[in-house]
Formats: sequence, C-alpha cells, structure tokens
Amino acid sequence: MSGIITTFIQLSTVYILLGWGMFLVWRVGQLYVGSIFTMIIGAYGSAYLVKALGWPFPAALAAVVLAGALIAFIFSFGFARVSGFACGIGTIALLFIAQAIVWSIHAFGGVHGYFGVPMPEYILVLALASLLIVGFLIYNLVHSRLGRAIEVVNTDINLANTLGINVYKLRITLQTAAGAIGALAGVIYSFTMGMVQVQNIGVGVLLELIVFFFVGGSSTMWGILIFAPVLYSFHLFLPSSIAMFTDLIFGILLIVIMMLRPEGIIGKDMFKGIRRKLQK
Amino acid sequence: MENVTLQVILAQLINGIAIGSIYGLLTTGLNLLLVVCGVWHYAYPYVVVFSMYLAWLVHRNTGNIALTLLTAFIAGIAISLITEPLFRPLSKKSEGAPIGTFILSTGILVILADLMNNVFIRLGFTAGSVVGFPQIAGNSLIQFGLSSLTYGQAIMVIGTVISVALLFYLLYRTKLGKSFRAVSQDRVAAQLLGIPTLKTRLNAFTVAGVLGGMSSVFLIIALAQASATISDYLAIKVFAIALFAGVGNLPGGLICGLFFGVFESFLVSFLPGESGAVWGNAIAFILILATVLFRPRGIFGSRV
Amino acid sequence: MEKTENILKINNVSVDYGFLRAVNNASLDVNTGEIVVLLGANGSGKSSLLKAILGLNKASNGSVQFLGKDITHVPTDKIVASGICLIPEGRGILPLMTVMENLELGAYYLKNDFKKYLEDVYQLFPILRERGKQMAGSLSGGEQQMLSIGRGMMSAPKLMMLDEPSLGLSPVLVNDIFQVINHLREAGHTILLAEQNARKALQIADRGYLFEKGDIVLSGLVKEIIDDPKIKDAYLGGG
Repeated sequence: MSGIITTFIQLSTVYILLGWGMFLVWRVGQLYVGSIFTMIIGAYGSAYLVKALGWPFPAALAAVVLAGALIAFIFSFGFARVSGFACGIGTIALLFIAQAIVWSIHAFGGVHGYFGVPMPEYILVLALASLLIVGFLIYNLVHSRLGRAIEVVNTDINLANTLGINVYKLRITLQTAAGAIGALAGVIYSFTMGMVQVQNIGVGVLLELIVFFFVGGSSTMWGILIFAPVLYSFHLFLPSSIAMFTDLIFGILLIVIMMLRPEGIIGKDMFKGIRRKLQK
Repeated sequence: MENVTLQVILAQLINGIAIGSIYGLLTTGLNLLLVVCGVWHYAYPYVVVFSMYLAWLVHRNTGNIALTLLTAFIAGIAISLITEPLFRPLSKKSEGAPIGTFILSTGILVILADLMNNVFIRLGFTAGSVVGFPQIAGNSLIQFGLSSLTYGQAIMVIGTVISVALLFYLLYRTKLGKSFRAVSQDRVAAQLLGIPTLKTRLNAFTVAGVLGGMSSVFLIIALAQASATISDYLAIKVFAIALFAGVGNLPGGLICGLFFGVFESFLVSFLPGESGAVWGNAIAFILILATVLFRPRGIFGSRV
Repeated sequence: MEKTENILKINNVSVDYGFLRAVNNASLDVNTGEIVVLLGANGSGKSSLLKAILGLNKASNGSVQFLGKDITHVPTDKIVASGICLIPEGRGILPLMTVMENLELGAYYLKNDFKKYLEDVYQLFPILRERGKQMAGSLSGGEQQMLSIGRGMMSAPKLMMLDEPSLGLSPVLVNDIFQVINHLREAGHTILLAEQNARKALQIADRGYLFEKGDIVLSGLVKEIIDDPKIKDAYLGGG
C-alpha cells in the first residue's frame, strides 16, 4: 500500500480516537480535551521509552496507556466536578502547560522536537486494531445500561441526579477512559510520523479536532468516525489551489453547522429513520 | 544597590499595570458578552489581534500613526458586530449561555487565525507570521533612574481608568446599562418588561467591541507587534482570568485582569532567559487551572 | 362616553408542549374597560394562554389580534412595546435591582410623563415610595406583587394581563390586591386576569371564561355564568 495512504489511515485513526475520547465526556455534559493532553504524554513517552531507553514497543505502549489513564484519573477528581465550560478551559490550559513542560525538557528535544522515532509497518495494524477494539467497546457502552444512564445525563442532568445516577463518578470513569484512548492515539502518532513536535500535536490538533467532532456529529460515535477521514483528506486530496484554504473552509463549516444544525451532520435522528426503514 | 532594585520593581509594576489594563478591558468585554448575550466568545481576543493586522495594513500604506490607531479601534468594533448575527440561532434555542456558542466561536477564530497566518501571507499583504509596528509614544513621561513611565503606558492606564469609569456609569446610570443588567439577571423578565432583545444584544456587542478596539490600540502601543500566536495566548489568559475571578463578574474580572498583568510582569522578569516568558505563561495557566479544579466559582463568585 | 372597542381577539389558539396540549382551540375577546377573568384549576391552560398572547409560548394554530393587528408571531418585546403588559406568576420583578430601577425599567418605552405615571403608582402603593432605594428582592411577597403591578402601570399599557396575582398571599393581602385591580379598572385600564381564586375574581370581573384541561367549557357575563354548576366546582377547586 502506498505510504501516503497508510499514513493517512494511521493519522485519521489518531483523530478518530481523540474524537471518541472527547465524545465520551461530551455526552455527560463536559467539553473535555484531556485526551489531547494524554496524547502528548503518549507520543513523547512511547517515543522516548523506545528510542532512548530501548524498551520493546508493546511494553512502551502499555506503559503510556496506563500512564495516560492514571493521569486523566487524577485530574478527573477536579475536572469532573466543574461546569462543562470550565472543564473545557481547564483542559485547554493543560495543553499549554504540557507544551511549556515539554519545551523545557532537553531530553525531549525542547522546542525542536523529538526525532528519530522508528516507523514500523505494524503501526497500521495497531491503528486498525485500535479502531476496532475501542470502537467495539464504545459501541457496547452506548448500548448498555450505563449508556442509557449517560443519555439521561445528557438530556437532563437534574433528572439524572434524581434518578440516583452519580454524575461525578460517571465523569471520572469516562475521563479516565478518554485519557487512556488519548495516550494510545499519541503512540500511533509518533510512530507514524517518526517524530513529535508538541506545537503540532497540542494546540495544533485541538482546533481541527473540534471542527471534525462538531461538524461530523457530536451525539454519536459515528460522526467523528466518518468525518475525521473525510475532512482530514481535504488537506491531502483537494487540488492545491483550494487546499491552502482548508482551514478557512473548516471554520466556515463549523460556524454554519453550529448555526443550522448544532448536533452535527450525523445525528441521532438519522438512526431513527434508518431503524424505521429496517423495521418495514 | 537598593535604589536600582526599587526602580526595576517600579518599572515592572508599571509595565504590569499597563498590560493588566488590557487584560482587564478584554475580560470585561468577554463577561459582558456572556451575561448580556449568553455568548462564550472565545474568538473575541482574536478579533482584537486581527484588528491590529488591519491597522498594520493601513500603516503600511499610509504611515499615518493616528489613522493606524483609529483603524484598530474601529475595526475592533466593526468585526465584533459582524460576529453578532452568527450567535443568534443558538441564543434563541436555549436559556443562559450554551456551550455551543464556545464551539461556534472557535470556528470564527479558525478563520481569523488562518487569515493572519496564511491567507494574508499568500495574498502578499504581509510577509510573515508576525507584523511589526513602530514604537508609538515610547518617550518617557517621567524618568526615575534607569526606568521610566512612557507616554504610551500612561495613555494605557489613563485610558483604561476612563473607560472603566464610563462603563460603570453606563451600567448603573443609563437606560441602556439598566437593560444590560436586567437581561443578564433574568432574560424572560426583561422580555416582559419589553426590553428589546435584538437592540440590547447589538448594544452589548458594540460596547464589547469598543473595549476590544481600545485593547487593540493599547496592544499596538505596548507590544509593537501582532501575530496569531499572541491571540492564542491572549484568548486562553483572558478566559482563564474570567474563570479565576468568577465568570460574569464584571468588577471581579477587571480587578483580576490588573493583578494578573502585574503578576505576569514580575514573573517574566524574575525567571531566567527566553524560557522566562514561556514559563510565565505556563505558571499563569497552572494558577488558573488550580482555580478551576479547586474553586470553580472563582474567587469573587460567578454571575452565570 | 367612550365607545367600547375590541382590544384583544383570540381565535382558535392552541398551545402544545411537545405532545401535551395545554390549550385547545381557545377563542376569547377582551373589550375596552373590561375585567375579563380566566378561571380554572392549576394546569388548566390559563397561564399558557396568557404566555401565548405575549409570544412566550408558540401558538400551534390560531391567531391573536391586538387592536386589530395580528400579533401571533411577533416577538415578545415588540408586543410589550405595543401596549400589552403581563404581570406574571412569581412577581416578574428583578430582585437584584432597586424598586426605583424596576419602575424605571417598566417605563422603558414611555416617552413623556414619567413623573406623572410614577406619581400614580405611588398613590396606589405608597409603600413603594418609601422603599425606593431598596433591593426589590428584599421586599415581602405582597410588596413584590405591588411592585410588579406598579411597573406594569409604568408602561402605560392598553391591556394589563395578570397571572394568578393572589397566589401565595395572605387573605388580607388578597383583598388588597383585588381592590387594586378594581381601582385600575376604574382608572380606565382594561384587564385580563387568570385566577384560581374564583370567588374573589368573580366579585370584580365583567366576563369570564372557565378552563378545564385546556378547553374553554363555559363563557359569558359573570352574572350569567355565576350560577352554573361548573362554576361551583371551580369555587371548591380554587378558592
């Protein structure tokens, strides 16, 4: 398979995973970009463990995913309690902090970035496997009793409280999961690119992720799955005269969607329609 | 020896108050948009920096300082008003401040940032990702030893004091200000009073635009440069200050903006080298992160 | 002698909250100088209809005409500006602003005669003059109700609508409020009133409409409907 295609698939997977992390917490009422924060940890951590310390790849992968989950878990005690908006600002601030920390660590290459990360072929397998496994887990979550509890929280948080749903604990759980998923995305990223530069994966990813997630559809897991590759491909596959205005197009798309159809292109109403047709 | 230290401290203090004025003005504009219009306008600081770009274009073509600053001011107001209609559908749908407005404003900022970083360069308007201004009003007004208070800094501080005074006069002594306060307290009750929803929104965006326009002028004087990166940092800081003080709390945000400017000024001067500025930002974020985690209603209490 | 004219005409208006129909094809009229009362139990549709007149609820069908103009889909603030005021359930004042500021805001569209209108309000509610600089939220329930009516008067309305003015007030205050409403009619105001307290309301009203689960089940002049058995149920239910 062509190098561009594999890179495209792998990087699309990164966005999808990050988007799913955002999705889990968005459905319980919070804007959470902690998965991007753990992505930074995962990317630098795994790269350093493998390249500088010589760890075997699977061990590095497991280590950073666990680290991502743990760190997200610790932060979630604070983030799970606050308003959706405060959570958003707080996690965005985390990204800037991470950027500052990384830039000051010489072992990580400082401002220039960390280079020389191996780019093995099996990353493609890892990416696709991650998509399948995480996707499967999320699908089951959404269709489980816990998933229904999440829906109640999303619809009416006061109702959820009166029904005895512990929103705080739910948010902690989901943020931790998002943290793990983010770290996984980070590993895929750095071993696809062969290098990590925090300015590209922290704040740089944030805006694109927001566009992909909210344009694609923030109420189901399919929105980001379909639209991350679609929108990400604009950069690569549009004719260059248009491609240079990709960001402008993204901004306009986001504004138009939020004005006309805030739930995004793929919404739950689509599934009701499909289900009705299937039942006939 | 002590004299020099005192002078350095004084210089940092003045610098801090000048920058703090900008933070205060922007936080107030942000809070105003939040409480009166229910909009989390994350793109607001980007509008301010974008106005600086437009002013720079004017400067490049005319070299006229007064016209440049006037452009920054007017652009700040005009562009703010242009963004107002974009938020209307969301505001109609829900009570209070929907988080959708924050998402929508990121769309606006993506456009503005791309214009500054990319499109302007491609169209040949600007040469790089940073545009520079000549030092304006940089002469010293008062000299004390090695440090001084420049005309520019004095303009900023006095300008801020006057605008704040005018703003509070507006809010508490005029019909318009009363309608702002009424809408921010209880939107339905305000409608029952017949307070015109659209006109009030436009007025609030105009006032926020004025505050933004002034900030744009002050930033030109204080920084003598503009870039999209500046707007990234400005945006997160101003929002963080608003959270720290308590969102929607106008006087609280103003005071915290000032303190933050001073705090940042001292921090940057005491940390070594180039990383000083970077750590200055980061420590500020850490401080604010701590507030979000431990005191989410802000230190003065939230009004939303 | 002033010719009575039709101020408000509601034609087959329905109000739906999702799948729940709160008001079902209601039609009613209000003419100059009348006190028209909407009776019925809690949740029977009276409040929903008042809100629909103002545009706070969407009318699913039908039309609302005010002074001959169709206001069915006009935004709330424009309707208020054209002369309808609502004194809502729950007082409708701004608690974080002073009494005086509340009254000033009531006069938002008043061009002249602010002092004259203010004096009329103070004549009716002397306590508001005393409490001018106090925070409206610190007033007692009865005083807040007076403030709410006062600020309604400040808008020089052509039609005053009151939603459950006696709710939560002691019997003495209830008497006071109904005396105030009567006084307002004598001063020339036209009043549409939604009340659970059928007994007190029928003492001052000219015409009435009885609501039951969203439908108007009885209407007419008070002296004609007052002996209807359905009204007796309303007495037992509300008052």
